[in-house]
Amino acid sequence: MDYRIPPGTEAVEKLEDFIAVNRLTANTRIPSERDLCEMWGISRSTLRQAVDILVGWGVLYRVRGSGVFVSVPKISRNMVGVDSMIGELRQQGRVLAKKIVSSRIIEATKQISKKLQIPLGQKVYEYIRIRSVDYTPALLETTYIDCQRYPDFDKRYTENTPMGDLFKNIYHKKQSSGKEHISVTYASENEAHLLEVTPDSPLFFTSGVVKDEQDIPITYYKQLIRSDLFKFVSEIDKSRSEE
Amino acid sequence: MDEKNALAEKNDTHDMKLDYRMPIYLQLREIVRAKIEDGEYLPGTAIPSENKLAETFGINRLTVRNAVDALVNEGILRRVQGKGVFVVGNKYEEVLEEHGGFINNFSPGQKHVSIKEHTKQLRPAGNKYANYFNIGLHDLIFYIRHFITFDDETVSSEEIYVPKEILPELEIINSSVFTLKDIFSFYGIELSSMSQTLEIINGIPKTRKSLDVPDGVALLMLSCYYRDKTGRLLAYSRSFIRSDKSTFSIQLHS
Repeated sequence: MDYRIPPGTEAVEKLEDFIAVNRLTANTRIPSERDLCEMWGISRSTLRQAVDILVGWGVLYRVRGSGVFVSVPKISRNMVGVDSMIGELRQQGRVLAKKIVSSRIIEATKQISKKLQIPLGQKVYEYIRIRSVDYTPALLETTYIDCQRYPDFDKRYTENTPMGDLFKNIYHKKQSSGKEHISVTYASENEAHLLEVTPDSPLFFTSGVVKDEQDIPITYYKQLIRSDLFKFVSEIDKSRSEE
Repeated sequence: MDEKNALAEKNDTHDMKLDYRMPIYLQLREIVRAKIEDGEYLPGTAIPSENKLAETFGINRLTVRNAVDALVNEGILRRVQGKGVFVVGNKYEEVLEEHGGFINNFSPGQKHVSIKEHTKQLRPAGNKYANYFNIGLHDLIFYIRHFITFDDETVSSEEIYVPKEILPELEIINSSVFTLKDIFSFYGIELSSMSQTLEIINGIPKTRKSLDVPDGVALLMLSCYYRDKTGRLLAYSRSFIRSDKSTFSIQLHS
């Protein structure tokens, strides 16, 4: 029997392989349509469709009048542990900054009281912060913390103190586990403005509760994350976790 | 009284008052979202009519419509012509990682989920997969395509690539009944690590059409690499998922 790869699929895979094998880095222009067609003996329209697919997947991007380029790889939001993202991005040598957009004390709504396991109407701190990566706003985060369990948190917390350090050093609570939900939402005008994207751009919407070692909630948070900058990665290694 | 104050006053449950200078329709969006999360608006039931909401909060109908539209786009509400706007319950939740366990991309046991094997064929590895699997260009690999439906609606399509030499039995196995992880364990192939990547993409018109993705709704792409303990790639899969039909959850540890 004669096994074949459909020509359209083959062109996509050749192109992907070409980028990988030649280690084409971000913003590198790929060879011209003519050269690639000649090299692989395929038609212009087949190649164009292959490029369309990889543009649709975010692997390549087109610049009118100058060609097709390799996209900047997205930053991995590695889902390994609580608050792992910041440390990991630092290790990658990225410049991180955060800015408090608003901070105030509010009464816990039904949702907040349920998530933090506190009575309805109990006072909570609400922080809305914007985080930037390499000087680009990337993440808009709203965090709720129980005022009773964490008295004077607002007097101690500044933009320059990681919240995790405060919980650990002052309140002796270690962030130990959490469950995060991930879905997709679209930037409102205000969110778009803060994140410097166009309104209605798709964003990751994540929410979760971080708990301490006694399984008591420490924070309830919601994040809007730019999808052009980030991807979520989950690595599970059985051999490592069994050790 | 302006619209903003009227809304704040009417919203005496303090639900989600995210007012970092938020427009009215967004505040209403968050109020409706909170009422759904709180169980005040139950899955499968209609929320109050746009007229009623406009009246309750003392705001313009167009503003109400914007708020409702935003939640329809997120897949939390569904507009049914002539019937109203309904709360969508129980989104197809994909578990990215379970405590100590492997990933469940789709749980066939879950209610209303069905997986259809659309294509299963052998093909030569070709450049890309010869490099992925470290096999010859002409070595054969299985190419399997699934469509996954939830409540009779297509939510995702999945493409799976497995070298024939790793699992020749795949030819006669119905891949839509068991997960790849299960199938590997049936045949004594030890799956040792798995890595998944989830990103938001535009996709191409053909993919969007095959999943009936409405305009303005984003597509999710989930890639998955299955490896044995020597690090050899056993299988690779790629799914395109409607973002308005799925949510993901993941367990985090310290």
